[in-house]
Amino acid sequence: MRYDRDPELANILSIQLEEANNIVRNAQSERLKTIFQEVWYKVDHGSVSANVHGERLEFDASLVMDVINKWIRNLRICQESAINKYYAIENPTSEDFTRKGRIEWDVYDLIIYYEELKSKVDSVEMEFANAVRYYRSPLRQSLTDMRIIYNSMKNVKGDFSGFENVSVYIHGIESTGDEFLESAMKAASAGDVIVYEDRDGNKEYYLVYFNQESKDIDFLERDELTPSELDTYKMGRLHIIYETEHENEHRQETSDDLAIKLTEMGLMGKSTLVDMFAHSYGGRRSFQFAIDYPDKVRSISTIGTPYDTNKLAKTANKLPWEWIGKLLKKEPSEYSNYLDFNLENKREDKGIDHSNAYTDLSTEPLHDDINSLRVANPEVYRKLDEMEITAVAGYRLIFKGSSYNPGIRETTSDDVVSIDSQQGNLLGSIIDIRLKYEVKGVGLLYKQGHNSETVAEDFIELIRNVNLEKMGVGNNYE
Amino acid sequence: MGARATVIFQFNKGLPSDISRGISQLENSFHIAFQQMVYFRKELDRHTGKAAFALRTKMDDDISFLSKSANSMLYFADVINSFVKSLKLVDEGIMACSVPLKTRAEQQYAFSPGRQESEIKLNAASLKDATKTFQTNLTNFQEILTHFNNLLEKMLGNTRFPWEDVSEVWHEAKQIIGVIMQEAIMRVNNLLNSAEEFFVELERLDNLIAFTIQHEK
Repeated sequence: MRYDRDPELANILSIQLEEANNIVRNAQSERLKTIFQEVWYKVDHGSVSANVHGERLEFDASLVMDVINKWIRNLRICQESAINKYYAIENPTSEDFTRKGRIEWDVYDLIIYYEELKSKVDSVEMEFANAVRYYRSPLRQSLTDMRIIYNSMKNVKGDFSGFENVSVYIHGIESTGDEFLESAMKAASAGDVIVYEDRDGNKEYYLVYFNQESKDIDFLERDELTPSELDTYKMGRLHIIYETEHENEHRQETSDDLAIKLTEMGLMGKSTLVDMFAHSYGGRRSFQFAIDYPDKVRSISTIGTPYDTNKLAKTANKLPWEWIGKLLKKEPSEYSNYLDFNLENKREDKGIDHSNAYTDLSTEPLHDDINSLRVANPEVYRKLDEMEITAVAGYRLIFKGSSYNPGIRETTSDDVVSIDSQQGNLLGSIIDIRLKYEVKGVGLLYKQGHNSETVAEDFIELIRNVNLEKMGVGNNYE
Repeated sequence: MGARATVIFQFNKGLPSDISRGISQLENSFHIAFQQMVYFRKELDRHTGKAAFALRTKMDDDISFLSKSANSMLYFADVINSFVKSLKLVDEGIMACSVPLKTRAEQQYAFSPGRQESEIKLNAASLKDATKTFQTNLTNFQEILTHFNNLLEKMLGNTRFPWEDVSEVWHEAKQIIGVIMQEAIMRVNNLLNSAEEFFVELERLDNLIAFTIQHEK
């Protein structure tokens, strides 16, 4: 202990030492004790010696930070008080001056040590958070599974229980559900219901009916649906335009969230089957949901989906996010509190380990996951194999040749994803139907063909046909 | 990049060893009991008539429920076990990446009725063996299930996770888990109570078949 420390300051430190020991004792954490001891050695006023061999570990970083901030405030008050006292003395002596200086500089050093302690607590918090982030998704999945079992046992219904045919539309990265809303509206039939909730929580509902005057499909827009309206429309198809919570979240995060959403809506019971439509990375998200809930998914139709790894995503994943974000309006570092067990499928941003769509597209071709599934659960693999899966590749027509000998050819990609990857050729017989549709666009740097795929007429026609085919031919509302 | 939430968690340090032991016991006893349930269910396929149909329907329902609930409980326990072990490793200063976890797909396959059925061979000797030990195995399973339920309650009461979206549903999750476990224990109890009747019925159906065959000769 420092012998020359001012008694008033020493008293404050004694109280703070007791509080430090209380923090460590309450937490029962070895790590916390170690960092407190490291810093307290510099404080040079006793030692942090609380016993941490108890049964229970309890860590609350915010509480610890609050206490340290309080210490810093109290030290500053002590420092200010000492300075004010000195200047209040009419004829200060050299002893008065020495005392003021001692307190002033001691507090200055102590605050530096406490800031260091806060930084160490922060690092420990980060270590804990990174170590357990892996388990958040599995935990959410198991809670959803139990919720589904419970709902089945107790016959718990949701607002949309009773809809037997559901279409779910999933967008890709850096995107929203707006375009799929447009497509779903064109593909819907009279008697259907369309639901769109954006990531800000705004909800739109559309009841689809046959307008006798215009002899065409029309829509009644609603802010909410009444039980009687829902009852009337339950024989029709429910279209859910699903917008992910985070634009660039990993497909597992989407699958977990979608399962929770459908459970809340009352759509995870045995009588409901889901047909999925997806664009770009949305296709991987759909596949993930189908792997996780194979009994729910009847079909998947994708367009522009990179089933293999993607070079553009790999490049974006490696470049500094500030540069990419500002220049290209992309966010490869977007965080959604998900971390994959595949050590390659992650990135670190500001000390936080996490996985997202960009890390997934950079490192994991989907056929790797499917091959692992074949071993881990042959029954789910078989169900996936039996599911009707259509992979559509978008391409553009470009001019080649000269003005004397003009000609056109098809591009080998949609400017972002190769045709090979879009058609999932490496997935073999898992993909049942492989198609190619021409899409509008200019090139990679401006108006990519990839971005017009969701609203391509051919794809909308495909959606319409799948929806009708899965419900039987036609419906009773036209 | 997004705001970083403060990490708050709590758990009992002795939990991993308790959970590991509980999981192991439950898996072993359930494996035996489940195999026999599926076995008897398959045996019933050889029999026709209302009684056999009723028994089959009942067993299908029980097998399906017990398979799903056991898989989800075991997976849940395994996740918490790995979560707590990871925290302990960090606390001890060991910079491990993650404690491995069986995937959900693997867990679901572990006690899949289809998988069990494909591994079963019906014959007179195996039927006799299964009949002798079914009640004992079911009783054992019921005891371990009750013990596991107590372990889960202890785990749920003393564990807190650092994620708001989990914390928000935790209270409700505890109730749901409790209800599912009670249902599982009750179904095993019912199976135990009806096991005797079941064997009598099996024997009656067997005799009926033998008589019918004899009569046709």
